[in-house]
Amino acid sequence: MQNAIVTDLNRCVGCLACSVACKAANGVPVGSFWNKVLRIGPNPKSPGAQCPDVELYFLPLGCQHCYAPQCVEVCPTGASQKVADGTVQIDKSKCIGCQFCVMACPYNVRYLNEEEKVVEKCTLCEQKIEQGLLPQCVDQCSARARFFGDIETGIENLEAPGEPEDFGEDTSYEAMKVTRVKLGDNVKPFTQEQVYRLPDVGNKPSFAYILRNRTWRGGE
Amino acid sequence: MEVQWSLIGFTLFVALGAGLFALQGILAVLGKGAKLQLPALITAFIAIVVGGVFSFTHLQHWDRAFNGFGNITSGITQELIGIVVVVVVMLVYLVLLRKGELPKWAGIMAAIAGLALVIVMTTSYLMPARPVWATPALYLFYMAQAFVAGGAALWLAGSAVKADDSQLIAARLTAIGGVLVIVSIVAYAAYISTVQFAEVGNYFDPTHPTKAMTDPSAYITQLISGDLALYFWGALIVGGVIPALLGLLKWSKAEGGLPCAAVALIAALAGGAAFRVALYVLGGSVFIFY
Repeated sequence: MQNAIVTDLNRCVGCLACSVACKAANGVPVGSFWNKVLRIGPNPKSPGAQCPDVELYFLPLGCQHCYAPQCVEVCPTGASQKVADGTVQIDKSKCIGCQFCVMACPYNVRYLNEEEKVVEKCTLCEQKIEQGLLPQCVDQCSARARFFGDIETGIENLEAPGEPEDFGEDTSYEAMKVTRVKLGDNVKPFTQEQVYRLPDVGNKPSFAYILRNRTWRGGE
Repeated sequence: MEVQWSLIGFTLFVALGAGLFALQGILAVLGKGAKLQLPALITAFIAIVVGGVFSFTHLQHWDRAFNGFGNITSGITQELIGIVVVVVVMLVYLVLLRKGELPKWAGIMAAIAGLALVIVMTTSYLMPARPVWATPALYLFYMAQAFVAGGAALWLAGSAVKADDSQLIAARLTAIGGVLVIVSIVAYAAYISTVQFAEVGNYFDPTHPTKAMTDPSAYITQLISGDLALYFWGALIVGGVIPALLGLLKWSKAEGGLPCAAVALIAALAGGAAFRVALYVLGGSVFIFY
């Protein structure tokens, strides 16, 4: 099992709702960003192209809950660990704040909590997913660009909050929170070549990004 | 990346202690420097303890430091094991030293233990996520720096106790160590010019709205003639050229070695610290834009 998030970058509008939602749901300290959104571009569509022949996309970034996390490998106390659902979690009571995991992470997504003196990062909202809910960034994505689930069942099966027409008669907040759509049924068609991952230096990131008709930048 | 002074102090003093212990072991194998063995051993031990204290200051929760260290794949755990092993070897060395003449195998043991500790320490910083660090050139630099600092400390100890049979050897070791530092830093600069980062072209990070875009292709310029030039050339000249010249100056003349040895040691440590600062500043992640 490997819980992960897949983001359809053609849908992401860079609204930062995921960043704000993450901050609110997890009490992320000022200066730390368990989830942030980079704008990649504008870059020329082809070498030497000038404006308006440019393109850009937004890239939500956080812990990639890697298959072979370097942060877990370097942690001297076992505070950083890969748990049964495939996510990487930090046992704060074991963390000595050596920050080697911060150095070992290729994506700079780990932060020292200055108050608690321990390292923190995206937990994939473990407090929510254990109750069958979606991570807050998936829940509140205004473009329904983010999908969550066990990526080993195929990315088409990952889920996002449902379409309003799927709620049925019950249009309550509670009904909305449990109604789901699957990625395969909801996003525009894509090929496997249009599924990208962040640069891999042996850590094997589990998160993926779908990008069509634009050039993925940053390597894999 | 932010400069981690605690880790700079740790690697600097552990390199000094390990280098000194290894080189005094080599002297023992050569049957030289009996007079300087004890002061050198005490100095090496103190250096490693000072390094250990530096590493503790890096921990945010040092009160929990001994809760764990159960993860053997962790560089920190391996460093701790390496330090414990070296301290045990030092104790054995001390016992043999107090009994009388050191056997050759004790010298070999000290040399291997010292070298192994430098290798273990370097390995923990070889992180694939940090392309500037993940290179065999890092081994070369740390070993060369341990060599020159250990050689200069040995020279200082030999001059202080007037160990006439070993002062020249220690001065020559310092000179060789200085040359090795120069070679290792040049090799490192050559490596840095080839480092590849993930490039995304133009980008904007809303969490750092006023920060300029990172340009990793400018790393080598930054090192040679930019804001890190002082550290780079300082490491090369102060940490390499000065100890090498001082060692050469006293290559065949023991008299007046004490001030030269003292300056060589200070220069080796200052240069070593300077290059470590540069390594931290350049130690961006492979996905440098995040």
